[in-house]
Amino acid sequence: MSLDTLKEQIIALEMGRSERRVLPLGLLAIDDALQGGLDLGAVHEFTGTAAALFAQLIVQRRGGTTFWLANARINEQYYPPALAQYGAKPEDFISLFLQNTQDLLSAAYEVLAAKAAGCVLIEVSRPLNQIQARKLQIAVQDTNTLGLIINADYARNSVQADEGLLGSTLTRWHVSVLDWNSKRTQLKLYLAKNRRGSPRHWIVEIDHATHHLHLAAISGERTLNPAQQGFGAQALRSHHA
Amino acid sequence: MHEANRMFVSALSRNAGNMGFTPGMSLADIRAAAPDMLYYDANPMKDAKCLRNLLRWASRFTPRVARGDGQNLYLDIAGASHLFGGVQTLLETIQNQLTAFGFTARLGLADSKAAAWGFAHYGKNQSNIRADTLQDTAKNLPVEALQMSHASTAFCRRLGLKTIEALRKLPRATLANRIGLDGLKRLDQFFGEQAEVTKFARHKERLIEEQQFPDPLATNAGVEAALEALLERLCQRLSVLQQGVRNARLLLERVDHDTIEFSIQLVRPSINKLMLLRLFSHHFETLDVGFGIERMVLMAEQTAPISARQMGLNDTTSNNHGELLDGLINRLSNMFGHQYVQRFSPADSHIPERAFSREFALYPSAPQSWITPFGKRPLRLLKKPVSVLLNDKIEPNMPETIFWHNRECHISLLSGPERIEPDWWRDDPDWRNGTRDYWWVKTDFGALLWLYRVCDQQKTQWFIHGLGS
Repeated sequence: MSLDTLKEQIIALEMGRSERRVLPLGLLAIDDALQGGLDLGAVHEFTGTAAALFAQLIVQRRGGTTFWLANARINEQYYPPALAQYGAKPEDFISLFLQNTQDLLSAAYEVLAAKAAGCVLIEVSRPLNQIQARKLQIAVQDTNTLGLIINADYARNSVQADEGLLGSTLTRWHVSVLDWNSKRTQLKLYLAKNRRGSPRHWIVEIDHATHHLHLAAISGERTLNPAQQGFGAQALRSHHA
Repeated sequence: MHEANRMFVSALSRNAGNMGFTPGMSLADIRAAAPDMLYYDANPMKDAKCLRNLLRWASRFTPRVARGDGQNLYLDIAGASHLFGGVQTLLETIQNQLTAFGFTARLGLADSKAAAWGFAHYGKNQSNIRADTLQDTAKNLPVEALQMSHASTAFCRRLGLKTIEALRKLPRATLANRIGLDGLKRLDQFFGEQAEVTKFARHKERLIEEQQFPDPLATNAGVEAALEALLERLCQRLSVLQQGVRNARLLLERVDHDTIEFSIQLVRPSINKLMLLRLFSHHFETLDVGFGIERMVLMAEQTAPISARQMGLNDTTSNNHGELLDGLINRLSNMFGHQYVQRFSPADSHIPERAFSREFALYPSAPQSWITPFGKRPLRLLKKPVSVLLNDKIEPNMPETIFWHNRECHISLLSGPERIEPDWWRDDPDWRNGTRDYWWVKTDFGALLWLYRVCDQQKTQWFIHGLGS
């Protein structure tokens, strides 16, 4: 038995399932860091100004019916005609806007456990606590559904506030827009938390014509100089320590 | 009623009838005689519908109800009258209720359909004719009460045979030559000597299952078990009819005469007992059985044919998946209210917030293709546009800094403007400020904003309407 297979089996056992299944993002560097791709049957978290944009790309890759659960008080909402413009299929979205976080979470448990959805987008106005996130993870773990928690914070670009939070999600991504023109959008991806490896940075580009993701630059941890990079430096330091 | 350029009356009020007018007279004649007569266009469709409704109402007295020609309803009350306190009380009840509805009605009760008709039209109102008195009471009825053909009736009149009695006295052999076999048949039918076919209205099968409990159910578990039994019965009946439940309602009658009501809705008709049970049992969390439930009624309010789904050879997973999805939509719709579980469909409008519509996921419609708007649209639209300038600032040109999410940020222009005009035919409160010019800008902390400017005479305002990320 090769080491890789053994690793896979350990991961599957950790998650309480017989077999690990992943959604490759199609970019070798990122998929390697995640040991193959985003785990299905798991909850992932997205923060930052472009969280919704990146989550929408993952939804497109996953396909199937997407449940979009959001707190009705959140003013920013996915705009279906633009989803079509970004290459997604708005007709596959089923939305459920609820006033109350408790209702939202009970809906989320129901949807995550139902094995009917490809992705479940859960938009919350403030980060979930560890117990809430853990419950979501338990609900989803027997399925091939991808749980995506979006906690988009348009007012901040820093990741500092995220560092203290140790949710029960498998990964946490901080996504922001670096540059934008009519042909492409450049995103800064910071994988702030990664159960399958170490935190990483990438700069990726979305081609507006094809809606494909390309790697623009790898800023892996070895090339990163914490003194120069305020962005995520603290996390990296703590990782090395 | 119109007929070949002539208007004639099809029905008259009692007063008009008393004045000597009869249906079938031309309107012009009547108006000449009584110029202040009120008249309305006849609406046979509406009349028929009204009669149909009355027929349904009448089925509360007996399941065997039928519509005759014209404005006649027949009720076969054999074996039903004692439930309403006897024949006479029943007649009064029917009369009173019809009067309360605003109808003028005449009732006749007899052993044969023809006799009932005859007495209702030409006898005393509410006449209740028993079989042994029929011969006597029918003596003085006019021959019209027999509903013979017009020719036969007119013929009898001409011969001076004005009453049924007069006809009965004649020997049958000669009578057949006079009024025809048809007239003879009517006469026999009147006295119940010959059968008359009645086509009773067919009732839609009422999909109701109920159960009385001599010992009231005191626990939720008991209610659930009883509901399972009711569902089992209902689903069995439905499966025979090839129908599935779309809407169902459950009534729980408590010992203290309080009724608790639950209803469920389904995205696709179903006879899956466990699925229906699960939808109901979700409501049981809030159920208070009080001193116990003594009666349960389960109604399938709306049903639809079950579509047998084609199962591909290697396609079992996707089929199964569709069922899981339907089940999930059902559960969510029943947990939170079906109005909250929505799908999106494209709408034809250039106004950004009108370019899509929401529909209930519980009531799916055919998917339509999305037309890509001309300009770049924001991935995220703000439900309420946010003003980005401090109150007293008025900026005709694009501001360099805006105020958003409690902080100031510098912005740089990316593209624009795109001009969007409001719909002039619609008074939308959000668009009363008139034309908007939209720009894409980028803030210094990496957010893409869709800004618009509205100008009126006094001032120019800037708002954020969407986000590119």
